[in-house]
Parts: sequence; structure tokens; C-alpha cells
Amino acid sequence: MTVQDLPPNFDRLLNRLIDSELSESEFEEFQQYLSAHPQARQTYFDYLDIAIGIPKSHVERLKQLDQIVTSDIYQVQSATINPAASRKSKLFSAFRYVAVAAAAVALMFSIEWYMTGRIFLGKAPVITSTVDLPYVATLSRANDCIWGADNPPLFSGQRLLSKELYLEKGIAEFRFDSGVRLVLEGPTRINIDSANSATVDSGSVVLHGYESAPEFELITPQARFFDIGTEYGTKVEEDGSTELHVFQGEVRIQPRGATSGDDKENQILIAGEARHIDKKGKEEIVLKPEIFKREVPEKPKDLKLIREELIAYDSFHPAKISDPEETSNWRQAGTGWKNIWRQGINDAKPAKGISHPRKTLQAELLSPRQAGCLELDSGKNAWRSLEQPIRLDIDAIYYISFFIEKKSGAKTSGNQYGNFSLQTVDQEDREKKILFGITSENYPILHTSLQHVQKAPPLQDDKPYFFVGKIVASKNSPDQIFLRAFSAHETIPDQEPLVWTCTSDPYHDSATYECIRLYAGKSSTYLFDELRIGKSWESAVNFQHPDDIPEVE
Amino acid sequence: MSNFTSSPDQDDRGLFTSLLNQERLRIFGYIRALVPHTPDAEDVYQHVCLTLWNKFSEFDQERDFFSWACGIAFFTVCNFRRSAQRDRHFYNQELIETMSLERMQHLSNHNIRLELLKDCFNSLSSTDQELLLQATLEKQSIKEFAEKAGKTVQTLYNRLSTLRRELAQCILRKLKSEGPAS
Repeated sequence: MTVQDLPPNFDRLLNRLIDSELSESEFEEFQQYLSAHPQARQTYFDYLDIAIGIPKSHVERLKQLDQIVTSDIYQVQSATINPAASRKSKLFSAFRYVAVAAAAVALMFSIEWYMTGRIFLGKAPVITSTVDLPYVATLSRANDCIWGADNPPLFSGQRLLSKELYLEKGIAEFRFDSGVRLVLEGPTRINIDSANSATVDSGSVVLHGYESAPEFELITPQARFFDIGTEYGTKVEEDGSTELHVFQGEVRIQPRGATSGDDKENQILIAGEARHIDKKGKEEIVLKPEIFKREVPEKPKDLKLIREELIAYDSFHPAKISDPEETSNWRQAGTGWKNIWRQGINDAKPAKGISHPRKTLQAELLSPRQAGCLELDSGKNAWRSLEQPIRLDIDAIYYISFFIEKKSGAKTSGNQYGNFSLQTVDQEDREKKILFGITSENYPILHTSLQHVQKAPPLQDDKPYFFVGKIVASKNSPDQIFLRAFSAHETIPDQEPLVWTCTSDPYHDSATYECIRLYAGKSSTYLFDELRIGKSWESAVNFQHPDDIPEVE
Repeated sequence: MSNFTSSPDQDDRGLFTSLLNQERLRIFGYIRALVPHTPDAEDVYQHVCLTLWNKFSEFDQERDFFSWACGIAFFTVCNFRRSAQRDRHFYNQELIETMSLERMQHLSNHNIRLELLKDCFNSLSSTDQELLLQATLEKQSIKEFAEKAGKTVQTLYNRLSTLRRELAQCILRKLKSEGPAS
């Protein structure tokens, strides 16, 4: 078959794919052509190479992406750590941590006065520290779950230490920090042993392996399973008998009591195979993927619930456009606030900032009430107090989202950072903050007390980015903060993503944050728009104006 | 901030960077063929780079770096597909496996074809070159380009389609006359 023999619609669909215009049904049709026609695949490859090869900037784009590993300057956080290497670098890391901590404290003292208008007097600041108590997984999805046992998970997004869990009913997904996912169907009793192992006492579990993760060990009463790029399901009965069904990849079965080097005892099962294992031994059985819940069913969240979970919102939309437009009053829009935007935490004067009443950083204006964004420059602050504070002394989860755009300017040096931060009025906790923003060098940054996490690649000037911060607060366990920066061409997922741009180490923070501060460095200009604070991912990424979302009756 | 990647040493980093510099476009080209949505392909590419670096101490330097990278990229694509949102376009597993092998073969003469693409691209008019460049940027660029040129967006998409076909034919012609067949 030649190119001319391809279905006439193939060329049109191929171009629409490259132009990112393909609909769902068109994609299905296109996929069928690719599956059926080898020449279609070759043409597809040729066109892709043309699209990739034309812009010289494409190599630069890829360089930015792989700077995550090629740059010596920006050390990279990684979920997977070579234990030996980790030990080797521990002393250096400890020294570096202390040095960074000391520098951060000094810097904090010197800039705090300038940025907040507050001066440290009285008590010495309380220095918080990170903890060496690792969270190992996140409850990423839960559908109609009823939990038993002590200390059950409270909400999706919650971080989990190693612990025993009993899912009485429903379907839940745990995502380990290594990338491995476990889907549980109740009733299931499981113990999360570490980031790389779990023990199933009884119930039904599907494991989705992750290539870059270390081998994951799932322990059942009769055998240990080690994944090799795998998706498999296991059912464990109360008497300990176990079924293993391999859907993809391979699984190594190691009987309890045998060692990994014992080749006679170990057995590899490949995709399509299944075994029943009990005290008598292993028996071949028919693969039955249909008896497992392989994914948590998608269940769109009720809009009323999303509205209820929204704590505060501001569109920076002035009620009236003044003349000149830049002077329009943007300071009192939104919901969930105690007061207007002002100049300092203790300064009631209206915040200085320029209104752009007709502009939006959001890709699509969903409501005229969302028109308007705020410009801050040259070291200007804007402060506002929340009706419902962000509390880190309780078990809770918060999501914060906003658009941010750094404007390119004549100044190429000096303080060019811009950020959003949560601040506290409590004198004892006054040095604490949680900050999400952009550094002078354009890197996305997450800053919590003494932690300072920034990540390559750099963001571009004059482009809007959608930032989503996640705060996992815990009463008795460590807290942890996450930040994801989305560029304009990225799709915002309906559920929180696997990968975060910056992740803090777990640390203890019991502060209550009542205030928000927006800030632009002395040599910079930033735009801010569509600020949301909510109790769920959905409430932070639903771009509708809250007044367009029905309230809970 | 205590979790630092520190497995391979500085010499390894230099070697790794050098190999990645050579193969960056081919690795992305392989991923891009298996992942239909460009931002997803970029996400996967970044994951793959991180995995390649974390596993670089296991890389046998007698082997071909590109083949090794494709092996890791293949599993990363499969995992990404499984965990991705359902509203995203993703090829089925069978097609991914079929295309994986064919794409690796297709990329074996990628550098030659890239050179030929430059020749073919340079032979186009400056307006057509500009249109192709704009098409690789955001959708907004095509709209702005259409406004400036006084044409409809659809007209430009049609022109893009023709240009891509002409470029593909031009590369094929030159390959047949100047180099090994693809």
C-alpha cells in the first residue's frame, strides 16, 4: 500500500492531530487507521518528525525539560533514592541543610521587615524543622468508602504513614511516592509497610507498577509478589489462600520462607497467566480480569459540594470601571474575605496596585464577573484576611490556586521574585509562612519556614501560569506542602496529578494562617488573577465563578 | 529538602549529558509517536529523563543509549497511559506495542532526514516557512497569523496540510536520490 492508497480522511485527521484539533470520535477513527495500515503509521511518523524538526526552539524546549537531570546547579528532588548513595550523601546533606537553614533565617530577618512592614521584636523566632518520618503514600481516590480500624484515612489527598488499614466497603486507590498504585476493593485488610511494600491479610488488591520505581513487594499469607513493569490483581481469602492474575508485564512469585536467590522456589508469571496458591502449592487457573476492580470508577463531584468546599475566591474584578481604567477599585471583589486588600498586615490603608479591569489570565472568560486582574510591581504588597483561616493544627487538606504572570522588563537584576503567601498574625508564629511563587531566576518555588524548594525548568516571562498549592495539615503527624505549576497549554486534570513541581519534606507546623499576601519584588512586575482557596482539588480548579455554582441548600 | 538525587558521580553526569545531547530529539520523537498529546509527551519525556538518570549506573556503555532509553520510555508511556485521565487521547496498548518497534526502526536514519528537512524547508517561500513555524507555537499564533494575512484560520490549516505533505514528499525524494531508503 502506498500513501495514495490510504483512506482519504487519514491525511485530514493526521493534520488535525498535529494541530491539536482532534475530537474524541476523530481520534478513534485515526487510531483505527493507524492500527490497520502500516503505511499510515509511517506517514504519521514522517509528519511528526516534520512538526518536531522545524522549530529550532524545540531543542531548547527539550533542554529546558531535561534540565531536571542535566543541570548541576539545581539539585533535583527524587522520589526514588539509591539507599547506598543516600547514606553516602547524608553528612553532606546535613551540613548543607544546616547551612541553608542558617542562611534562610538570616535572610528571613533581613527581608521580613522590608516585605511585610513587621519588625521582629520580643521573642526569638521559633525554628521549625523537617522530620525524618517519611510519608509513603497518598490516598489518591476513594469511592463510597467505609473504613474500619483505628485512625482511618479522612479524605482524598491525605498523606499516609506506614500503617494498618481496613477498607470495609468501597474502592480506594493509594499512590505510593515511588509511583506504584494500589487499588483496593472492600472488604480488604492491608498494612502499608513502607514506600516499597505492603502486606495484604485479606481482600482484593490490584497493583499498577511504575517503571522508575524500585521493585514493589506485595506480601500475602502464602507468597510474596514482586512486580516487573506490571499490572496484576490478587485476591486473598480469610484462610490465606491466594489468587494471582497477571494483566500486564511479569510478576515474580516467591513463596513465604524462600529467598530471592532461590531460583527453584521463585517463579515468574507473565501477562495472561494466573495461579491459585495455598498451603499445598501453586495451581494454574484461568485468568479472570473481570473479577477485579482495576481502577476507581470516575464519579463527577456534585457542583454544590464543590461550592461548599471553596473557602475564598477573588477575581480582582472591579464592580465599576473608573477613568483611567487602571485606578478601578479591585480591592473588595470576591467572597470569603474579612476585609479589603490593604498595604500591610497591620496597615489598613488600601493596597497599591494597578487594575486591568478588562484583562484576564484565564484562558477563557467564563463569566463577565471574572474580567480583571491585578498588577503589582516595585516591591508592592497586598494583604487580605480570610474569614476561615488555614489551620495546620488540625487534620485538614487545603488547595490554593491562582494565575501568575511575570512581565518582562528593562531591569535584568535585583529582586524579581513574585509570590503568594499565607501569613499569620500570631506573634509567636510570625516568622512562619507558606509561599508559592516565582524566583528572580524564573523558577517556580515553594517556601515553608526553613524549606526552600525550587525546580527547573524556568518559567517564561509574559506567559500566564496556573499555580496549585496543596497543604496537607495533620494534628498529630507531620504536615506537607506541594506545588504544581501548569503552563497555558497544559490540561488541568480533574483529579490531582501524580507529579508535583515542588514538594516539601514533611515537617511540623501548627500555625494558623489568617492572612494572604501577594508580593512583587522591587525590580519586577507581576500580574495575579483568579485566586481560589478550597478544601478539595475540584474546588481549586473549577474555573467557574462561584456565583455560577449552585450553593448547598 | 533532604531528598537529593546523588547516585551517579560527576563523571557519569558529564557522560549522561553528552549522550542525552546526542539523542534528545530521537528520544522525544519516539515518545511523541506513542503519546498523541504534546503536553503529555513532554511530561513523559521529563519522567523518562529522570528515570534514565536514576538508572544510569545500570547502563551498559557497550550498548546503544538510544535503544536503552526507548526501553525505559516504552514502560513509562505504558504506565502514564494507565494512570492518565480518561478524557485524554491515548492509543490502545496493542497499537503502542506495534508502533514502538516500527518507530525505533523509523528513527534509525532520523539525523539524515532532519538534514533533508532543513533543505526542503529552506526551499519554501518565507510566508510558508513562517506559517509552519507559527503552527508549532500556540493555537493563538495561527489565529493572529490569519488576522495579519487577512485569511481564515481554516485556509491556513489547509495550507499547512499541503505544506506538510510537500515536505514529506520532498524528504522522501531526496532520500531516494541521495541516501539510503527510510
